Amino acid sequence: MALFIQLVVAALMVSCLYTLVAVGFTMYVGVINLANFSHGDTCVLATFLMMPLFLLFTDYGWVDSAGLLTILLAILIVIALTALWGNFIYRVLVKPLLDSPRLILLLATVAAGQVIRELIRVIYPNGSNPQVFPKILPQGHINLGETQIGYDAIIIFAATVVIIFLLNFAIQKTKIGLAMRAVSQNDDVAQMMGINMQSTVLIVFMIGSALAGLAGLFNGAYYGIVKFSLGSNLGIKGFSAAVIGGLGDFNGAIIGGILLGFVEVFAAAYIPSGSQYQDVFSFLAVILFLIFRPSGILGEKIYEKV
Amino acid sequence: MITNNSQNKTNGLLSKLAAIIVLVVASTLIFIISIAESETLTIALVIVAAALIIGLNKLQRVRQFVNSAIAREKTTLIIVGLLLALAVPLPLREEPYVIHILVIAGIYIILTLGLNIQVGSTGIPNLGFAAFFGVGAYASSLLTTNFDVSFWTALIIAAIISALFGFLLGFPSLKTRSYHLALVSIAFGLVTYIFLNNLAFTGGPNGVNNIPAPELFGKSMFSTTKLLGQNYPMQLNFYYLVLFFIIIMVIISHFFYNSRVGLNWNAVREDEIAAKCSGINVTNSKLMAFSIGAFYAGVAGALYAHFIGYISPQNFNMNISLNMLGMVILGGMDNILGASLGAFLLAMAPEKFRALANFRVIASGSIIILMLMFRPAGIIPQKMRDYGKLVTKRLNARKDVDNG
Amino acid sequence: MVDKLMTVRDMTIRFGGLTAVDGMSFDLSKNEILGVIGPNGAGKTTAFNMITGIYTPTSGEIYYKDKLINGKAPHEIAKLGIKRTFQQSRLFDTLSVLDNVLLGMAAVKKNDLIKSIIRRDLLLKENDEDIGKALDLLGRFSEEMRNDCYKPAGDLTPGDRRKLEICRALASDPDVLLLDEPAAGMDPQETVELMDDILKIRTLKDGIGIILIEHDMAVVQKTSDYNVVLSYGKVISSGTFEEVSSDKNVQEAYLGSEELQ
Repeated sequence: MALFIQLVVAALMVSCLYTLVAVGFTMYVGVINLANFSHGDTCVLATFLMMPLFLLFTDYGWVDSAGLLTILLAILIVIALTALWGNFIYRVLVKPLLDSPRLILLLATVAAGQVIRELIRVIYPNGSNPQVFPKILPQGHINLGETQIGYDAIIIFAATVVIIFLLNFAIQKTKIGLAMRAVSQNDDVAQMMGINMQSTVLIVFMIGSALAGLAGLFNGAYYGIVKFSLGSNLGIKGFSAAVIGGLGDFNGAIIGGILLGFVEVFAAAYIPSGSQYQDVFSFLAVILFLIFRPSGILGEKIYEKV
Repeated sequence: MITNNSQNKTNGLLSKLAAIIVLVVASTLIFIISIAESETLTIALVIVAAALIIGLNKLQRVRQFVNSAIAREKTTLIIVGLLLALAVPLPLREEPYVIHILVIAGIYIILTLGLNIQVGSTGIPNLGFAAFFGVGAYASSLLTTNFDVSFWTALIIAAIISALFGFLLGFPSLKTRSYHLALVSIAFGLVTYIFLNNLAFTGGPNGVNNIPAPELFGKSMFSTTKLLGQNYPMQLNFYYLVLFFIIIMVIISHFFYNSRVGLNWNAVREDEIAAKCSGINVTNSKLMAFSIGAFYAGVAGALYAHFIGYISPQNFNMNISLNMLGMVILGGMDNILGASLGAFLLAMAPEKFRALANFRVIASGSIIILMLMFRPAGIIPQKMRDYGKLVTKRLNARKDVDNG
Repeated sequence: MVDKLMTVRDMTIRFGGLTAVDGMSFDLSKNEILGVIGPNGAGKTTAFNMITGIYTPTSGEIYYKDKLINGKAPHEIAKLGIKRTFQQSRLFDTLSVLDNVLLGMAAVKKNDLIKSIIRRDLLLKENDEDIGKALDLLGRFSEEMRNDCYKPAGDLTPGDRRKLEICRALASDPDVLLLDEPAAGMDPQETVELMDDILKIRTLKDGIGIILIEHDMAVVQKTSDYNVVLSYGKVISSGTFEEVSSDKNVQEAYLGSEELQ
């Protein structure tokens, strides 16, 4: 029983990460039909921004004295920087290629992801090796029968739930959210109705990047170790979660994230020598979905416009 | 109409000469760049070459003359090109390492030709092509190492196994949407890597070692060779081996390109729905692209494994896949010469710029992004299929009738 | 019985909650030009998509030469002899005009690996014949395109794009041709040319049946032998142009639009 609870907690953590990444991914697909293969590397960027920042704050003694507030500030700064990064990627990479065939844009984001990864590796001191991530979340735990659940897990879970909920609310109820949904459905008509396509897409990019950044920070905080190459795996898993849930569908990203997280953790635990083949289970799940139900769990059956 | 026969003859000779000169100059430039020892010298030569090409391109008359010469004297160019390729290693008797690099570049040419069939011709974004490369390498080396199969048989079997893997990847990729295809190919590549890394019979992370040398006429290809009375290092054997396969694969690619198979692939790339409604079985067409492209990779894999002598899963990871994708994008999508050029450049570059090894991926990634933004068709873009006399004879006949 | 090329009975398709086409029935005879008209969104293109196998009807039957073709794949239907053009012309833009027409013959060709590599003599002879046919076909519709046959399809004018799409469709000698709004976006001069082209098609293939979706009533009036009017997925009238244009139901369906002149 204790093991089961541990596994559930582990699965929820993985699900939170995948969901945060998947939501951004699915928004890009929904709004401009873009598969952004550099999305995962945005997560890693945030981790590698946080580490020096945290070091800086520690050197000044801010971390020890003001504690929680400083850390929150650091998180906010990093998230803001990551959102700005999303802005940058949009303007420099995506916008110039919007009129080209989508294949070109896809390949460009793949190359961009590689470049980001390598830049991090080369610029950051000792970048090729795994790095210790600072403890930005409280370290205690609560006891639940025979098991313990860390505060960090609880915070990550709660934060993810709240953020997703708020985002969903914003998309459904605010003007900007309306604009995003309109552009998602039919960008020509949306523009005719006066919606500024540019700023809408820009906002989507910034939100998506911020979410990815958060995922990166949570990843680092929970597992304690990060590596420059983390992004490609995280990005692919996020993409897979979005596809399983239904590309372009916000709720699909959530369902996909949960499903993928649980499949991965439980398969690794219960299938003999499963941990070696951990990733295989997730990928097999994706491949199966793409064969039998490519529109995903929540996606509508896609009828090509003829 | 009176034709000036002697004038035509001179023109013909001139264009032959022009074409040959262009080819020789280009090859010499490439050769010198390849063997140049210092990085500064290489970069300087590249800049000079690029400036020359771009400059001459601007002179319209020169450009037109050269282009038409190249178009007309295809046979001459191919023969001369072949002779040059055969002669390249001759002055490299004391440079086994340079020959080594050329062999690797050659293997990448074969790989890129295969990937080009999928990405360039058919429009399938395969981001996991290294999986087929790896399957070919592992299949062939396990056969020669564990079962005493001859290299030549192992190569064919490995290529077929690779093709079957390609066929397998085809199925989840049949539903449209480019990003679905990309994702599936990534997943496929990663799953293959994980299995290669964990299965006992593939040797796990240690891979396969002591892969036996191919034998030709009873002699091992790992031994030195005599050519024109001189002793050459063993790399020479592999140079000609790989060249031999390049020629075969180029011919096969050429045949496919100029047949209904290649034409259908292009149609699938351009517009699947229109292709279907025109009567093309898009499913079969895609599966063919997957299998045939993978076959190429299988051949390359067998050659690679038996040249290097040991392989491990690291040799077939996603970076390798992305590298090959870059070669197609840089060189030219759906263009045999272009893809080969891209492979050559990106395979040679890391060897030439060893000091900058750390920045290799950044450099190639940036080049790819720039290419995609400004010249997505590649250095040598796809040309229109030219049906030569079949068209001109009919158009001329109509013209004669019109002119009376 | 072979006089009737196509018989459609109660063809219906539902997408989730929406019934896009509801119980559509009609016949197409040899040599007949059938007009399918109706306001936007009435389901006309959806009907085409069902006939050509892109969608599968939820219910109803589509008979082609007495064979049921519901649910067949698009390439199989093309091979049986039904070809089409698209509302927004779908040409193979980076390929030449000639290659586009050659691809139209795919319906009557086998995708032969062996022939490509081994029996090249057969392949080359076939190429020769195919190119002859393709150039002839192009020449019937545009001498200019024929002479400039290596031009990329993406560089053509809209009028030429339509012609090329028609040539591509005709390249496999189909018995049924579906034209989806060929006159869309054309000026009066091009429209006149189009009407001649549509009638010209009948001289190129004996007995060909044409189904024409059109909004331009002049084209419908001049070319169609019989018409079927769709509104909200249902057939609300059928008959000759004179009959349907004077039908009160049809006029109501078009109420407020200047399409029915």
